[in-house]
Amino acid sequence: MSETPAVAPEEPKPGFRHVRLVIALAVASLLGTFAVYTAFADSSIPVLMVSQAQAYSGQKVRLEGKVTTSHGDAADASGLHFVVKDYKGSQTLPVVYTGAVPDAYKIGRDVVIDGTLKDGVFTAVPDSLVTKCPSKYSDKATTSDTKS
Amino acid sequence: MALIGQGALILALLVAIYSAGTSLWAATGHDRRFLVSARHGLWAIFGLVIVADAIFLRALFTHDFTFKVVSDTSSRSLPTVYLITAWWGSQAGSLLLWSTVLAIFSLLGLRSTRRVLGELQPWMIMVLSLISGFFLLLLVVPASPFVTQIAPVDGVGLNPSLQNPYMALHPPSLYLGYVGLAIPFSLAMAAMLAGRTDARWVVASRRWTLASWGFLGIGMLLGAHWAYTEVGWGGFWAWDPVENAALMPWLVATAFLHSVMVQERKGMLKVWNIALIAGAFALSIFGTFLTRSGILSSIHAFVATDIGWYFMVGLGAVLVGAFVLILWRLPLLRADQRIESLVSREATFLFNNLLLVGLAFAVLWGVVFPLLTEAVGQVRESVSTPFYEFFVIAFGLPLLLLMGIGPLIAWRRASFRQLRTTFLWPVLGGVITGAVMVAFGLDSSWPGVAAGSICAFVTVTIISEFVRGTAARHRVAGESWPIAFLHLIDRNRRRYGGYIVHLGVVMFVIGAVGASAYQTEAEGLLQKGESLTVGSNVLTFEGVERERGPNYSARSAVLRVTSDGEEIGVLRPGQRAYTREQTTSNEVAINTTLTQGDLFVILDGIRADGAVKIKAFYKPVVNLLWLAGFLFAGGVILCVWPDPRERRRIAKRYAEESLPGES
Amino acid sequence: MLAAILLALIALAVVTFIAWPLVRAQGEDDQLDPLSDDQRRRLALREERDLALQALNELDVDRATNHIGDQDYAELVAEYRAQAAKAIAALDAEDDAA
Repeated sequence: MSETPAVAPEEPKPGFRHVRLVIALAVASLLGTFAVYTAFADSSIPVLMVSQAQAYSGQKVRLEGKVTTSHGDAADASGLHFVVKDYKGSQTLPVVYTGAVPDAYKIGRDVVIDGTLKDGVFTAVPDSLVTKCPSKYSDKATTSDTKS
Repeated sequence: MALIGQGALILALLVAIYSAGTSLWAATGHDRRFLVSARHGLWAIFGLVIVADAIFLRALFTHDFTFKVVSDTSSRSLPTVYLITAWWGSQAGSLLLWSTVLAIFSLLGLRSTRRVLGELQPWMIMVLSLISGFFLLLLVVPASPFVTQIAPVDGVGLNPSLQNPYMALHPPSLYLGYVGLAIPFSLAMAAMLAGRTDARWVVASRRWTLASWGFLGIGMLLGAHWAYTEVGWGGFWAWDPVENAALMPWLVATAFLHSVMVQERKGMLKVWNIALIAGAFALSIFGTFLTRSGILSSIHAFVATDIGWYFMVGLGAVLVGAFVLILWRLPLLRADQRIESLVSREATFLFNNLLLVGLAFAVLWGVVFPLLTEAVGQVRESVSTPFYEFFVIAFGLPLLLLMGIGPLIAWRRASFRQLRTTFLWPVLGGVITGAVMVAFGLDSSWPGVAAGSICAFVTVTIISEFVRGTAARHRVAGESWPIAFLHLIDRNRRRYGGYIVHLGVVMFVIGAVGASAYQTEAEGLLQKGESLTVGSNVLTFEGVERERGPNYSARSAVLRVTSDGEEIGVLRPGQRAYTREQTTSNEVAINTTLTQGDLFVILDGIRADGAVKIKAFYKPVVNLLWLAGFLFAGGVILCVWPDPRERRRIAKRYAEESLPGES
Repeated sequence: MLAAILLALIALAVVTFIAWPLVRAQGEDDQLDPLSDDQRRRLALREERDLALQALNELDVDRATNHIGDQDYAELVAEYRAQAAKAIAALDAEDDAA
């Protein structure tokens, strides 16, 4: 490249071809990382409503619903017992949960829990309870504060 | 009053449409009077939005519950300071803030760039008016802050999580970042509309991009600190979509800040840079949209809301508009030069760009994955923390490495012989650090060891850059060491400001690694007198304390902390019950030792029999996370600070041609 | 009622403010000239000149801090000097012509 290389030379220099090859390889390896990760890692989890949960019995899922009754203590070994109901619809499911209870948890609130459904009872993964943006406040920060 | 507010917003919307039209006419018909009129339009929008703000704030502060938004986000017992944060506690309020900031930035952006803009100015006004118009439309139709109702006796109150000092700074800081990106975006679009794809829009937008990027970064850090000290689950970043919303534009803007340096030097990557800034702005709209539209809970919930569709259309307009403009101006965007060698600074910037955009894409993928799976199948699938952590390690570690390699390689090209001497000390620093970490048993986490060694490598690189620069000045200019050091930074603010930002990033990474890879954790159910051990700390439960605040009642566990038999103090993790808002919040207790780390204690519950459930973490070097913010901010300020020499040089370049459009 | 009147006054003020530049008499300098081809070319040359000068500056710094070897330095300096000289010469020629 001498003087003003305002127009790219017709035939790329050998060095430049080299550059192009390496960049192409870098892009390919980035894409490859994606492909390999999404193919092999068990990276996602189904998010279900109560009415859909039966079909996934025995499998680890994420359950969404509204809390209708709640008793017991998540700090106890016997755990917190509550019932979740679909937002729309009437199907309910009992849940047993231990671990941290988020700030916003209470009856009537929408919650999300990870766990497995077995014999009609949803056993939650400890500390997985998250409350969803309560409709009472239309604020932006709630989704992050709920990971109590 | 609500009528005046709503009227002001409608007027502002009309003026925005008018300004877009007149500025288009000024650009194509070359009549200065229309340009001046369009500019007056921007001033009018500013004035009208301020009127709306005044009415809105007055309603908040006088507890005028005939305003629906006011009764939804505040109550009579809400402390006065939090009436301010209630401004952005609602969707309508935060969009009003967006519009206010945009109105101010439009005027400032125009003023700060008027010397170099010339015939780009009417186009820039047009783009800014269109963006303003979009947000004003949202405020007028689907999200009006001036919806009235029959006043209830008291308001619902503000979400307790917003009732803390961080919420006075964190959202506004993010908004300044989101909105600030509108300026470089409008400049890039103006350059293409005008068919002037030279360096001018790059020169004019540099400070705005940097400042917005800095605000986004500081905003995220404040959010992380808030999550850490107030939300209290023991971490600082949950990969929540709301957090990711700010991270994505920040990552793309980081890529842009680097690749634009290549354009400044070699006139290449023009298309890429315009795509990046358009992407960053689109992501900042997407971020606002994510937190505002309800799309996160479900695609069906989103379809049910109005505002989601408005955002979809706005976002689509930004993307399609940028794409069409790039295609149209493609012949003008040809590169002047090519990369000469793989061993050059521009090549490292290229890889840095690939990784940053790759990481932003991974985060975006994680955010939209539930929506895509729901749209394709019936069941939503969600990704969680391990997905993000994988990509942060897979793409983040090479990025960190490039941060140490880049500064050592000269622009254009370098030879391997040179590299041997420049790389010697940094590589040694990295290897020795890695070895020391392994020797001290820190090989429990290999990404931790890798991150530690690379951080040492980068730190030694940056220090050596400062040393060599100072030594060169000392030798060549004959200045004394301290003077040489100060002159070095003063004469090359962008370069050394950038290095300081890099040091901040290194500090952040060390803090994050310490807090995640090397933390110790313990939990237990404690009766009075029993104790829990975490790391070298022993916590002994001594009893429960009760307290009443202005709008809450609190209970806390009293824990006496000793370390190696030595008394450290008393920690009181607790829970607050907010009476009016009917919610509780965790109040974590943190014992900070700056030189070592944090003892972080959460009260998970108090049982009827008086026993408490306690969770405790020991997080080494976590405080570097927050200290990093000061370096980051300092470096950004150094880069952005006006440089008279640079201004004179650029003014000279453009003044000689007496560009039209200035007045 | 009061609100409506107030609103009307605000609207009036806004319309006056933004329409004012249009209703006043057209001045001589109201024609926004687009850059002529000559001006565009000169601007491009000036940018090219500044780019080359900046590159030379950076090369000196890189040389002083030992980031670049003697041979690379000599080659690149020659290249950018030529580029800067060419741009400056072209600018001078344009000035002479003007």
